[in-house]
Amino acid sequence: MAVLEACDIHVRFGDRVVLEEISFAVEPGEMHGIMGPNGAGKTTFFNVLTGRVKPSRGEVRIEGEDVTGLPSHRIAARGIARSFQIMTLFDEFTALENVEVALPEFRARGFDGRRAAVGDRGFESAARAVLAEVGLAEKAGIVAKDLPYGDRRALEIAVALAQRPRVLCLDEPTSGLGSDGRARLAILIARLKGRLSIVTIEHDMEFLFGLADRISVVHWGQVIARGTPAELRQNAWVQRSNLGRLQ
Amino acid sequence: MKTPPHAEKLITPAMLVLGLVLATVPLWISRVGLYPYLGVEILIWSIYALAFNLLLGTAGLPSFGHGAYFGIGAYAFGLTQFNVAPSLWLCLAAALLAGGIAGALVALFISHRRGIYYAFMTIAFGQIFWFVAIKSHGITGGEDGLLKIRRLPVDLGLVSIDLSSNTALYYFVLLAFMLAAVGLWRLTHSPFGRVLSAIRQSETRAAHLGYPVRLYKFAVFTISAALSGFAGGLFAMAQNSAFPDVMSLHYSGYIVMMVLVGGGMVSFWGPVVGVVVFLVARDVIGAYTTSWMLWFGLLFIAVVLFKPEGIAGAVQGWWRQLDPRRLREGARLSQVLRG
Amino acid sequence: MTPPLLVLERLKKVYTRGALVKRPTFTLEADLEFPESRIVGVLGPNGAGKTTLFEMITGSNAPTEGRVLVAGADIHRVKYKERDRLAIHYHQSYQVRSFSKRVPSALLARSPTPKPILHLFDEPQFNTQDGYIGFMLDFFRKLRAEGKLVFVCLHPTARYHLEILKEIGESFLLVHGGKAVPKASFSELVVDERARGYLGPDMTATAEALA
Ligand SMILES: Nc1ncnc2c1ncn2[C@@H]1O[C@H](COP(=O)(O)OP(=O)(O)OP(=O)(O)O)[C@@H](O)[C@H]1O
Ligand SMILES: [Mg+2]
Repeated sequence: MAVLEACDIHVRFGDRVVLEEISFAVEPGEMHGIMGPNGAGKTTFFNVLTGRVKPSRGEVRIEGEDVTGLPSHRIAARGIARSFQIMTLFDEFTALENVEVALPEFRARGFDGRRAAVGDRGFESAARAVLAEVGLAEKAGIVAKDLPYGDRRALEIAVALAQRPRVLCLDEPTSGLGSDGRARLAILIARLKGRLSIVTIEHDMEFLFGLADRISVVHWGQVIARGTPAELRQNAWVQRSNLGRLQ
Repeated sequence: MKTPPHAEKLITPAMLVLGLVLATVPLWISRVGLYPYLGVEILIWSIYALAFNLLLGTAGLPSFGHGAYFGIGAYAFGLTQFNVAPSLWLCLAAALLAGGIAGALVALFISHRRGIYYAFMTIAFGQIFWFVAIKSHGITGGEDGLLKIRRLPVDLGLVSIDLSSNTALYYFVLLAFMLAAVGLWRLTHSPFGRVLSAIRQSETRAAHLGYPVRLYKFAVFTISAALSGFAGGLFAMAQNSAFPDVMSLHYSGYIVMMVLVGGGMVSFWGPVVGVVVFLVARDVIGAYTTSWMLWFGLLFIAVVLFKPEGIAGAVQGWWRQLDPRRLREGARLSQVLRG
Repeated sequence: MTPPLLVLERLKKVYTRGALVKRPTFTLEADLEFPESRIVGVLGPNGAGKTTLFEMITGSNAPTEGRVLVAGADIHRVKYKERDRLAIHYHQSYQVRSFSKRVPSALLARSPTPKPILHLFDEPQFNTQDGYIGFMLDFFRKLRAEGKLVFVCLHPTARYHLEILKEIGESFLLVHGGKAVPKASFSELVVDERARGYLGPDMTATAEALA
């Protein structure tokens, strides 16, 4: 069964129809890429999947269960984690604190006001393990706003991973990264792949074609093409594009 | 607010020092030209300011009508004393409860709001409570206030301590202040406090991490209002009366000013600094001119313009410059520059 | 007999200026019929009225005279909510549905079709770098294969724009000088004097080489 599924999603803002009849399913362990030109509705689609925007029609399902219209915290609690196109970290928190607050066990104690959060061994060791996974082990104590850009991007992923999600939704994770940063991220995603499902919005075709199992091309609020990288590559115009030239 | 040192401790060295210093106040306050009652006032307003700052500084929720809960606590203290039983514990519990219930009621209506809308709603509700207090002459005494509230003795079963002298009351209120400070320090640095701080930094992010943001906003508003009500109860006892003016918009403004001038946004203790500066300024400047509020207003503007982190922020800045590690770094830097 | 997919029946749009004496500032006329499914390339200089034409066809801009019949129904007499079951206007990257509501919806007719049969793409952004062109063209072809009528409006400024038109256009529509003129093929388009003037010498040469 698909872990995360969307059927016939419709979203309209004023007189703009931003999503029309989008359907989509992520299988367990799959890495699904979403690409498309600016303003095509990719982020809006993520917003629908994660409960930020309520679709006017259509259904979102997590493991077969209808979750359409649930508030975002309920959807997050069901194992859908996301990163944002414009980074949103807790800037005043250290890297460690950012990750700790994302842990499900931290969330379970969220209303606990009687014990200290600082110096809790359980939270700290779990959070350090996640930071090590994204290569930030040494930077645990640095306040998020003082981290260099690449590390902030990595921290965003750490925060999402800390939620131990079933599906990880990343909105343009490579934006603003140099080639080093991209390579580092590609290695990380390749390692995560299979362990959990990943949906990534990405403009960088080279990045996506190298990692994704399937790709959906979104334009005019619709899926205009879908297939494996090998299938999509057959297209003559793709061959002519930068991506084609790379091979 | 960055996590300060000793955040994990229940009682910090700073708390001990502060407690000891405050304990000596009645010994010298008259000698520096002030008077013991000022100490009582400072402590009560400090509890109120810390409670307010849980909302503003930690959770980032601007409440500009907070005087309502302080005032409701004051009335609850007096009314319980007159109508139920003249027991200190009962009356204080009633003040806490009344503030909390009023807060919960308001929180129910505003917790889904953000920013300026949130602020406006708190003002509107604050005004409603104030108006009701003035108009319900039969219950609150209207503008004349609720008079003849007694300073009830501390009843410990075997012994009973009289609080009618300002010094005795001072030590009782000091105890309450220390308990409130310990509790709030722990709360601020608990998982709950961390989530509140996360909500202040980004509600959206917190929601996408699975936190029911509205529920947290509801909870923190209720807690803050309850504790403000408790402070209000102490205040009614201290001044032997309860008046609607503490519920008015400009009194609600004072608490905001105290907290911001003191540096509540960057430091747990900032609000206390603000209260001390505000009340001492009122008496000292007030002795020379009736328009002392003008001068304090100017100070407030200066702080907002030049040092938005408040007095506590400025002190933290100097402290950091004096930090031996910084000094060592500086030495190394100058070595590098020379070499 | 099924009605033609689209009929522009003595369609005319006039924009005027002046309160008392109305002087026309813009006119556009079309009298055309598109009986069946195909991909139509639409060209014309800026301001010639390509978007106005698309708006009239999708029912968001009322014509001064004449009618637009989609699947036999006058789209301007169909309920606003159901007009997107006849035709859809795609702007650069999203769809627009804006209708000026003059007549109460209750007085209007229902759409004869459940799904849109006209798809009008207004200056989609083609960029050779990203490789989306191929998927966009495939999408047009898919709609065409489903029996839809597809209009793709494009303002050629580079060789690949002409390649795109040549690759997918089964017939063309030149919007120029207040008229929408049909062209049966790319080669017929290239020999038209107005088209050559609009394309300019360089693009004309490129187009001739392609034709
Ligand atoms: N809250 C909103 N209100 C109104 N319009 C919106 C809103 N959110 C998105 N839009 C519009 O929806 C369309 C799709 O936006 P979206 O952000 O989903 O695109 P995208 O594919 O993520 O683009 P990009 O590649 O630039 O990130 C745009 O035209 C945008 O202006
Ligand atoms: Mg986006």
